[in-house]
Amino acid sequence: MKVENMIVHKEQMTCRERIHATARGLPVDRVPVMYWLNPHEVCRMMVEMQPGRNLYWNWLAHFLWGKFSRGGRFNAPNLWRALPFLLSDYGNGEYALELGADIAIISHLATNSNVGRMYWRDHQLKVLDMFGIYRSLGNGIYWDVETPAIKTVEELKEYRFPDFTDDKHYAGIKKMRKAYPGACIAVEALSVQDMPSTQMLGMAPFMMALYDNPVELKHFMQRLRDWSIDMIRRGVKAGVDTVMICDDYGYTGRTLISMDMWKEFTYPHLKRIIEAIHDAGALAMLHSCGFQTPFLDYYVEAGLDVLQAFQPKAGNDFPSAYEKYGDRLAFATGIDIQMGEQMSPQEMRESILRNYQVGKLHRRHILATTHMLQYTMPAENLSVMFETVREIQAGLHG
Amino acid sequence: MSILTDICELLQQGRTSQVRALIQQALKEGLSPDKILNEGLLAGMDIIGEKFKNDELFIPEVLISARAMNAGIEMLKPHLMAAGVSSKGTAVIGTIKGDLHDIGKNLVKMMIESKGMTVIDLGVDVPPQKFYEAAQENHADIVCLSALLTTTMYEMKNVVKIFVANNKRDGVKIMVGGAPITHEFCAAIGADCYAPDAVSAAEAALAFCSSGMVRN
Repeated sequence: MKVENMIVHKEQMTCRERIHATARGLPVDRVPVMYWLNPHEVCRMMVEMQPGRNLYWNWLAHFLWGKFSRGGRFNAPNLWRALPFLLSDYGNGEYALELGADIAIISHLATNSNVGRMYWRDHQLKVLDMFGIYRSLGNGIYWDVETPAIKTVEELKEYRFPDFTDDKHYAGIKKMRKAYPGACIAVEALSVQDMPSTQMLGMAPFMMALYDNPVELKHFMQRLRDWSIDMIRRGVKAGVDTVMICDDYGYTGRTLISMDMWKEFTYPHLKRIIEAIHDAGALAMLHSCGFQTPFLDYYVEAGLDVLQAFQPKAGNDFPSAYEKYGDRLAFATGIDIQMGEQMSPQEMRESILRNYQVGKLHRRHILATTHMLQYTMPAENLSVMFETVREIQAGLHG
Repeated sequence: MSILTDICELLQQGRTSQVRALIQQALKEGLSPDKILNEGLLAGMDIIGEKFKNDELFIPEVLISARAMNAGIEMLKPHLMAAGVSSKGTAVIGTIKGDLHDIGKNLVKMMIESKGMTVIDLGVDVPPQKFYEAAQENHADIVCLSALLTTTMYEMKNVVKIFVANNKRDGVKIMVGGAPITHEFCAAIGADCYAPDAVSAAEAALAFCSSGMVRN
């Protein structure tokens, strides 16, 4: 399985220009592309599909994929499930660009890369992150929350966010900007709903706090928003083009909380973050999982530039949403990696081409994976996926 | 009559301490524990389930109501046991190995409990063998498997395999659910039922137990 020379036609715009034009509905030389890759999948792709140009990362990917896959993947020792995370930023940055993506994603401002302390306990590698959250891999491949940072109302009131004011935290962005002046650099940032609910308090305590401690929770969310905005400003100053706000509002066919509650607790902060991103001179992209349709009016009202994911399995209908909102909101979607694992290669190809055709209607479409591409994607589907996107980029499908 | 209606209403508002107080009062007044359970607590959760299904209520409302229900059931437990009231069935539930997401699993658990069934919650990141052992130990009718990630959903197949390998597959219904799961996936791994949401999972679980499709 080799996919070579991903970008095959003569391009007239830089990736950065292409993304900015798409966000504004202006003409582009071709549809922009966004890949979001799980680090284990990065290792696999570098071994089985397309090596990276950087020899060190190539060597590391080969070594780690060998340890992970020969170790039985989920059954591999803790260390070999953990170390592929070293390739997170490389995989979604330089390597994604080499694959033909227009956006390089840096996870810097989100949680996963902010390791405070690593330690070994109960035969497991564990992490205490900079937010005060204890994490472990368990039997899986993600640094999931073992103990949240906030367990009481008092802790909610007194919580102090980590200090990210030092320039050293933004060095990676500056380095990337310098190395890839024409690339669109996106950085993940936090908003106020997903981070507290899935990481800092835990889902059930957060949900019940909406009723039990609304005043304290609102105050906490406001502090989180201001902290996030400060980081965003520093990130944009360092060279970020697009801020990828990570905040999940839905799940399969439903919103997590009622629209009234979302409008009361979450929306004002999302709107303020988008304003701050624009004031800083960057584009605002929202990554939000699950059912999104009820939020679209509000995203448009808030001035959001790009909505990423829009997973079909969660009940989102891209053609109808794009027809209604595509003149005001760009959608980064169309490569259905969630259902793609269960499709035949031909179905996968047809699905991408169908969404590409839909996206042409308003010029506000970024052809993107609907979440992180995982190592469980069948090799044939993976190959077809990249070939189809390459054909689109080459202009073979109009 | 009115005290049961009040319990039902207050449960829907998630008012745990008031539900507790009314149950205490109802017991004092001589109402039978199974009447309080069925016409107060479970009736309230039934309404919550219906409203949740119709998108009138969301996860926070279900959680605070379930908290009130659980507090009420805890109070009633000794009285129910003394009266010989039995559960409508037993389900073992957990999020599959490698996956630590639990909100979907917790919703299903609450909805199944609201049908008057017993739920053994194995938590998250549960290895296949543990599902099998818990099902045997608790004489479970149903095993409910949850997964959010495409990387973890394939572990569900290993749970089915363990039951088959031990010749225990016929005695239990295996239900699957979660964001990446489909009817096709359910059929492909040999599970019995795919539930797209928590309410339909609970309805299917109760239907399995009521229809005698599982042991009991």
